Amino acid sequence: MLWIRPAAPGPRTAEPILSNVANGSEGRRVTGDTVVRVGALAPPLDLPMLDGGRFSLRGERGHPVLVSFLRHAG
Amino acid sequence: MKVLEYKRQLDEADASVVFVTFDDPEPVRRGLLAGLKVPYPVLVDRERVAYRAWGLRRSSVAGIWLDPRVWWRYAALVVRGERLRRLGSDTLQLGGDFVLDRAGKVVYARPQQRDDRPPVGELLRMLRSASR
Repeated sequence: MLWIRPAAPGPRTAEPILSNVANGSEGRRVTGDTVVRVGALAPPLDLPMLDGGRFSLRGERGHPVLVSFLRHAG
Repeated sequence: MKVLEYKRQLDEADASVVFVTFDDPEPVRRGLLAGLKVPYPVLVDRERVAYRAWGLRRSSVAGIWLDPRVWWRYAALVVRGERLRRLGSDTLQLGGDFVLDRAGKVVYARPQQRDDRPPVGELLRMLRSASR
């Protein structure tokens, strides 16, 4: 069953800036506080885990990592 | 989370996966993760601090719900027999996929422009390349 709910107020976005990301997104307008650039070190990712405990991306050094930010997950 | 079907290929690439959600943990467990065994961390970012830090924006209503490609994708899922989930707390927040190499450098960045995801094959290719 698909429900459509009014969107909750989300984070404020900064003025549009140009992204410089890989895979054909070059030059697309992306709003947000930051743009993650290919070739740069990844921004920190230090958050609680769903099942308890805390995760830090630094602990994953030494492995390739896929970081997948989900859209709504209800 | 289609990438979960490719655990063997991920292991072969010595890769790990991290999922990040901004929704309440309970609906995530009942909805997205229902019946799924996820062998990777699922992080909760209620304040969307990481979403902002990684440059992931909110779309407009038109950008999501008036885009025929989004409806086409939902229709294709239904035809394939997949069950549509209830929507989460903010349908306009976009996600994205990023591949990091062993040193933590970004080798692939794909912030969503609408309700789209890169093909899993593309992600696996980037992970294999990042593992060399």
